[in-house]
Order: sequence, then structure tokens, then C-alpha cells
Amino acid sequence: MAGYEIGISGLRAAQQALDVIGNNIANAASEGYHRQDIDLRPADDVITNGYLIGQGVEFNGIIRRVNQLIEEQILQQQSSMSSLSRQSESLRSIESAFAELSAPGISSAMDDFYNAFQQLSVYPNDINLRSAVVSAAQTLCNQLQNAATVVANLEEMAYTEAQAAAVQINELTRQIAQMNRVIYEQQVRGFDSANLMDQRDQLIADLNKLAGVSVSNGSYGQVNVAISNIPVVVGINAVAIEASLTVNDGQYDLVLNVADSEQYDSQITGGSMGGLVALRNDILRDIREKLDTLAQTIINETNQIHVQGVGSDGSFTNLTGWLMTDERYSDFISTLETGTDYTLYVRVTDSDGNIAREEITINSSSTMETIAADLAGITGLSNTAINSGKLQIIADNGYTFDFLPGVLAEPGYAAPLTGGGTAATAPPAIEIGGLYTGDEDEEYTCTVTTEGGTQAIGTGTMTLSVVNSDGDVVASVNIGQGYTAGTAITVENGITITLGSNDISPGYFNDGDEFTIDALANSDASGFLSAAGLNCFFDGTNASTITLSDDITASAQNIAVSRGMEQSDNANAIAIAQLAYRASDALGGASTTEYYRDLAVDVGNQISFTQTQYDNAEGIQRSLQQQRDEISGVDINEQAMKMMVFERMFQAMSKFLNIVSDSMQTMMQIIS
Amino acid sequence: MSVSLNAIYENTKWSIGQQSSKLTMLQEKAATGQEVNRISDDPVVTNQLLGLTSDSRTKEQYLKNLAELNSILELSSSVVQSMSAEMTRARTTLSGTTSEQVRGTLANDLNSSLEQLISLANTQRMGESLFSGSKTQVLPYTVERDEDGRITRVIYQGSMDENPVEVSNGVTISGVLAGQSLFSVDERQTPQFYGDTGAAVGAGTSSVRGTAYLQIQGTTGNWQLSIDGGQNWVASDGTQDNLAVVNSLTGEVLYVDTQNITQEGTEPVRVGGTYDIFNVLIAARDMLDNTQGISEDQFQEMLTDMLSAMDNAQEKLTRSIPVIGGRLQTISALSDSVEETKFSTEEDISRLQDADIANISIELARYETLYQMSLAIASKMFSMSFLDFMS
Repeated sequence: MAGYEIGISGLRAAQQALDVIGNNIANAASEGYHRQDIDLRPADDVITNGYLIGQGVEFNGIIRRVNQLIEEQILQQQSSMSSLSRQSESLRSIESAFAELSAPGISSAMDDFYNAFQQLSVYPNDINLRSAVVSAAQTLCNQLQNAATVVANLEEMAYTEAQAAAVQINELTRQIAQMNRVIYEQQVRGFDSANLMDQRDQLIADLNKLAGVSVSNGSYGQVNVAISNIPVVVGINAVAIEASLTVNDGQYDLVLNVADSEQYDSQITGGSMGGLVALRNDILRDIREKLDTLAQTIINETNQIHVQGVGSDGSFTNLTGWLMTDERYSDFISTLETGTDYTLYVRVTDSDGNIAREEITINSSSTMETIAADLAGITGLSNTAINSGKLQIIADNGYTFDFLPGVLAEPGYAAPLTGGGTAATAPPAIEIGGLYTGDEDEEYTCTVTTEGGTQAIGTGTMTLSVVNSDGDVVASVNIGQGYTAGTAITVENGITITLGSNDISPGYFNDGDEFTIDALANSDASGFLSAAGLNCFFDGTNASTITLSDDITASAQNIAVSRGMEQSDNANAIAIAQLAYRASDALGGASTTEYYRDLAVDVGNQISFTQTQYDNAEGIQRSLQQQRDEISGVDINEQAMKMMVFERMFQAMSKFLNIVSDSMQTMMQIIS
Repeated sequence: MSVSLNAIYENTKWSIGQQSSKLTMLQEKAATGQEVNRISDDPVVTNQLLGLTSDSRTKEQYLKNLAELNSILELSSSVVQSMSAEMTRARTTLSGTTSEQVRGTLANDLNSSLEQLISLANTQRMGESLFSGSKTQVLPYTVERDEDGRITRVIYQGSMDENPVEVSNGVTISGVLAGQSLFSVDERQTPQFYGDTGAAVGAGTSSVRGTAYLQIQGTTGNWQLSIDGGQNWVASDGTQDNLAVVNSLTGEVLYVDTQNITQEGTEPVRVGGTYDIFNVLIAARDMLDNTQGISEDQFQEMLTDMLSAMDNAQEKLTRSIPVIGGRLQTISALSDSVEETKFSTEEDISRLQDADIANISIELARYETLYQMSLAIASKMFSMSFLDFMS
């Protein structure tokens, strides 16, 4: 009765084929579904009446249309896209915080700050312009703080998101391991598990979006999954992971580690987790460090100039630094070159107006205590002390002090000038003036040459020769006959010497009389004052903490506009304004405005580059997806046509069976 | 080739997303009028824009500085012209001196002119002195007066330094001026002795300015000399040819040849080329008042020289007008130059940043059409199927 067998096999095959087609159509929109095709083959021939005759059709299983290579490539691209997408989101937040082009951003705030000092230089005593400087500086602080807060929040967010992603990863790996178990059980029993594999692969695809995975095949349809170097699914077992922070080179790195273990991995790439790790450990850190470097440079450079000047009230009677913990202080000390002595110059003025310039040596072994003690040892500053962790320089009654660079009105003498040795032949009054404009500290030695013996200024032949510390003669002028007492002699770099009578006589020099002029470009090369917070403009150490110092907040009159000994100039205001375009060593030769511009454009470039990478990955992924759809996708038209084929097959086999049955019936009737 | 439902969906979604995103971008450009709205839109252009904008702001500040300096210097120029006019009036007054009877009245007129000049020289703008140099908070000139309240000495208490302000990269100009260098005359001539004591000028370079009165007391071989009204006497035995006589109040020195002194008396000494607008008026007023008891002959001789000194002082004052004018011209030229470069910078900014609205409108229309096409095609793709033809 081969006809029945053949007919039944055909009917069964057609029905199974229709079931597969139905399953395909039902899953046409299921994400991750791979088209299935029925595998039919002719049943083995059987010798009937001496002939080999086929026995119909045989169901040989269901083929899951999948190209593993494409699937792996798609996983890779999806992983990249998730990572890039996450990075791009954060970078765009930072771009918004910088607020360039769309609103007055940090760039505008920096320009306004420096321009406010420019404006103040025109009217150094105008209280409104001083307030404008405070306002512009406050805006700059706010802008930098805002950007730093955004970066800090994103760093924190990256960590909390990573923790949440780790929970999701653990749930997915648990499900994958479970699916592995079910597939294993099905395959061991010889059952088809195509739909289960699709479900599991979809879970792997979801996992891959969270963290780039590598997948390897195991036995009986199982797969093993690893995230970077951490195996998260091994056959039917899942390994739980967690996101944590670990200290690396003084920074908190975001890492993935096996739960409750010390083993960690910071080289996660791909997926949103890879994006978060790259964001926190590289991208955001780099931006934060650059922002901090910028803020630190603005603070240091501004303060370094500001500390040496004086405000509207002139020299100080009392200055209080900021709270200095030992740690912070040693931070400051660490910037000093070991083995180098630096000098802090303090000008002290007594009640009679006599000015003395005192020197304090600072080196890498100095501490706040030693410097406080050295300052207290200066006549007129005996009350200087550390109070509540703050260095407080206090002038004695009738004294004032400041840190003005430049020159002192009175020159220095290796040996006192004696003139003719009597009151009537005393030396002349020597007055040094001008605002020193040199870049380096300089000592000028001034030597008088007479005709021989003692000589009054304005008489005979007498020359004053000025030699700099390199031994170069920078000026040689007649102070004998032809020189009018009281006339300023120009030396160089803005310095003048005026020789006048001593109110009794015109003033007498001896041949070889010598006096010196110490011209300071910087009264605090060590940076001690700005580190200790004495007469600073800014407080803080980075973009998060930058703020105006208490002195400036208390009164705009404390803005140190002047640095000349007359304390009426605008040189400090101009010097601070010129920081806008002055190259800074701390910024690799760029000015603060250029450095920020580079930073902002770098963020824009990163966004642009990330977007390009994303677009490329998306393009590749789309292409791969299309290839996959060609292989694994469900074409409704194709399925409909197949459905018609198998419907016809079913109908034909039914007819065939009917005919076989009719034939049998006819034969039975003949027999009966 | 089979085309899956999913492939049609993904293609449609991508295509609509692309066009929708492009439309959003174009709408943003049209709404803001800017080609670049954020750094990532075009980092290279943004770099240029930030640099140019910063440059423009700096130039704007320079222009503000220049405008302020211009106002200060214009006022200074106006004040100096007023001072010059006052000096002309004083010159006319002095040149009209004839009879002894009216000299007291004329001296009062000169005193009024002096007061007026001091007042003008102490002019302030917004609480800051114009002629104090960098010491803008103090009045440049203070005066000493006698018991009658008449000015006997004008002292400059400002700074010799100015306050330069940056008006272009590396270029500085000061709006405030140091009165001392602006108004004082420094073309020192040999001192002239008008008296008949026999004292003569010494070889040394004296620092006395304007008119001094050398008082000589004593007898031959034992003279006492003073130029500060007897505050500081310098002894001479009559053999010194270059004796330094110092004014203990001002520190000024007068070198005297004492060899030919024959009698006591007051020797008017005039140092040509050192008269400024203040000490010339004081000297002229005192000469008219004859406070030192000079003879008519000496008076006449001194009057001629005084008129000459007044001319010199006025000439110096007149010469300061071009000094200020020169700065004003520099400011004007710099303003034009900075304005021009700022305009050029802003043109660059505009070229880089401003959106081409016409082009955007066309692009918007194009992408709207494409968007509609994508939607229509997607709709067709989903609506047509073989299933429609199966019975």
C-alpha cells in the first residue's frame, strides 16, 4: 500500500511546511527572528514488484537561516553604536555647558574679565569700574564652575549608569545561561531549538548593546559569552559582575569586576558600558583636567600679578591668608625646585615714611611656620603669626607693608657716601624713580667719576656711569657742569635717577662713589603669596572651586591696580588685562583664551568625530542588516507563494489519496 | 532576492529619520539665522569664530578706551587753551605797565590770573585730575601763600609718570598728563644778576628757576649770602668764584662768583628759560609790587626780561597744545584703524556664521519634498503585498 504511505507523507510534509510558513509569517516582525525553512527530501526507494519506487517525501528537519559571520559583525557594529551614542550624549551636555555660539559662554566671560581690567586701567580709582571687574570675574567663576559641575555630574552619572547597566547585564547573562540549559536539553533529546536560539541570540544582542561581548560556541547549541576578559556566561552558568571605582594613579577609574571579587577590568570596549568607561576614565577626565588647568592658570597668573600690587588704600596694615592645611601647603612647596632658594621681598614703611625692603628666603624645606617666623622677625611686622591655620601678617603700630616690585626711592650703598666729610659738603640727595618695566630682576651699579677728589654736582667734569648686572654700561651721563640738580636722568626700563641738593649744599661726590639700584620684576618668584592667599584676587585651585577671594568680595577697593612705588599707577590692571593674550608655560605656550578655545573646539571635534564614527557604524550596520534580512528575514510575498505551493501540494496529495482510495474501493468491489 | 518586512521597515525608518534630522537642522538655521549653532556643527569654523569674536570684543574695548582718552584729552586741550588765553590777558596787563601808580592794580590783576591758572591746572574730570600724571586722585598744584593770602610758591604734587592705557595691541597712550613736564620750561640760560652788589654768576650749573633774590650781608671779606630769605646763610670771604648758595626750602642752588662783591644788598637774579606760567606771574606780580625794593632802573630792565619770560612761558603753554593735539590725532587715527579692523573682523564673523537664508529656503523645500516622498513610498511598500492577489 505504497500509495497510502506516499500520500500520507505528502500530506504530513505539506502540513509541516505550512506550519513553518505560518511560524515565519507570525514572526515577520519579531526582532532577532531568523527565517526557518522546512527541509524535505524524497523518502527512500523501496523495491516493489521488482522495481525501486520512491516512498513519498520525508521531513528532514527545520533549517534556521543564519549567517554566523554577519551576525557577529552586526553584534560588533551594534556594540560600537551603543558606545558611541553614549559618549556623544555626554559630550553634547558639555558642549551645552560651554554655551559657545548660542549664548555668552566661557569664551565671552574670559574676554569680559580681561576687558574689565582694560577699562579699569583708564580710571583706576573709579568704583563703578572696579565693581564691573568684580562682576565680570564673578561671571567667569560661575561659568567655569558650571562647566566643571556638568563634567562632575556626568562623571557621577557614568558611574551610576554603569552600576545600573551591570544589574541589567547580570539579568541578561542569567537568562542566556538559562536558555543555554533549555537548548542543551532540547538538543540532547534531538528536538529542534531554532526558536530558542533566536530568543537567546536576541538576549545576546541586548547584552551586546550594554557591553561589547565575544561569543564562542559550546556543545549542544550552547554558547559562552565574555565581556572583555571577564567570562559572564559559561555554558549553563552565569557569572555576576558589578561596576565599581578603583584608584589608579590618583584617579578613580570606573571598572567592571566579578561580583565580590578583587579581579577587575578597565578595558571594557563596546556597548553603553564601554562608552561609560571611556567617558569616565578618558574623555571626561581629560576635559575636567583641562578645565582645571585653565582655571588654575587663570587663578595663578592673576594672583601672581595681583599679590604684588596695592589697592586704593595703598600699603597694608594687616593681611590674612587662607586656611592652609599641611597637605595643601606641601602641595605648594612641591612646586618649588629642590635646592633652589627663592626670595620674597617685603617693603615695610615706618611712621616717618622710611621704606625698607626686607628679604625672606623660601625653599622647598620652608613651612608656613618658618616663613611666619621669618616675617615676624622683620622690624614692623613683629605681630605676624599663624592664627587658626591662616597666616596673618600684621604691621606694628605706625607701620605698613606691601610687596611692590620695581625700585625703591632710595638707592643701596655698599659703603656710606661721605661727600666732603662735613655738613656743608654732604653727599647729594639721590632719588630713584619710575616704574620698572624690565622682565627680569636687575641690579644696577652707579659709579661717579670726578676730576679727582670731592666735587659738587653741577660743577666741573663729573660723570655718572650705570652698569647692569651683566656688566653692560646702560647709561653714562654728565653730572658736572651742565647738569642741573633735580633733573631726572633716564637709566633704562623706566628707571630714573635724580640728584638734588641736600638743602644745605648742592651735594658732593668723591671719585669712585658708588650706589646701587635693585629693580625687581617680581617680588615673589616662589609664588608663596598666591599660594598662601595673601592679597589674592581669586581663591580656589581648580574649575570647581574658583571664586573671588574674600578681600575682593569684601570691597572692590582691594583690587590691586597699582604696582609703582607712588601707588597711583594702573600697571597691575594692564598686566592682568594682558594675560588675555600672554603665552603661558603652564598651558604649553598658549594664552588662557587660546587654551580654552582649543578645549572647546576639541569637545566639538570629539562630538563631530564620534558622530562620524556612529554614522559609519550605522551605515555598516544597515548594510549588514540588509544582508542578514536577505538571508534570515521573512519576505511575506515569498512566504505567501510558498504557502500557495504547499496548499496545492496538500490539495494534490489529498486528491492522490482519494484516487488511491477509489482504486482500492474499485478493486474491493471486484473482489467482492 | 527576498525583501523582508523588517528590511522595508528599517529602510523607511532610516530614510525618514535622515530627512527629518536634516529638516530640523535647516529649520534651526533658518530660525537663528546662523550657519553654525554649536561647536560640533563645524569645529574648524567654530575655532575661527571664537577667535574672531574674542578679537572683536578686544577691539571693542580698545575703542571704548580710545573714546574715553579722547574725552579726557579734549577737555585737557580746552583747559590749556583757556590757560593760554589767560596768559595772553596777563601779558597784556604786564605790557601795559607804565606809571608807578597803577602797578599795584596791575599786580592784583596778575594775581587774579595766577589764581585762575592754578584753578584751570587743577581741573578734574570724573573726580580725577587731568594734569597730575598717574596721581589722578590728588590736585596737581598746591600753593603756599603769604600773610595776605597771595600765592608765593606753586608746588607740583602730581606724578611725573603718566598712566598709559592700552589702545591697540602693544600700543599705549595716556589720557592724563604730568603738569610738571607739560607746563614747565627747561631751556635754562645763564642766570642774570640785576643788582649792584657786585655779585656775579658762578661757573657751576645753578638749579634756581625763575627769579631769585640773592641777599648779601656783611662786610668785605666776610660776606653772608642767602636765596631763601635768610633761612640759610652761606659764608664767603670774597674769594670764591663758584660759591653754591642753597635755598633750604626748595633745594635750589645758585652758583655765585663772590670775588667782586663790594656791598650789601638784594640782588635780583633771573634765570631765563626756566620760567613757567606760574613762577613768571608770581615774579611779575612781585616785581610790580616791588616787594624787594628794586630801583626804577632795575625795574625797567627786569620788565623787559619779564615780558620775554612771559612770552617764553606762553610759548611753552602753546607748545603743549600740539602735544595734546598730537595724542588726539593719534587717537583719531587709531580709532579709525581699530574701527576698520573691527569691521573687517565682524565681516569675517558674518561670512562664517550667517546663514544663507535663500539657500536654506531652497534646501528646506527640497527636503520637505523628499520627506513627503519617503512617507508616500513607505506607505505604498507596506500596503502592497502578494496576499492582496491570493483568492
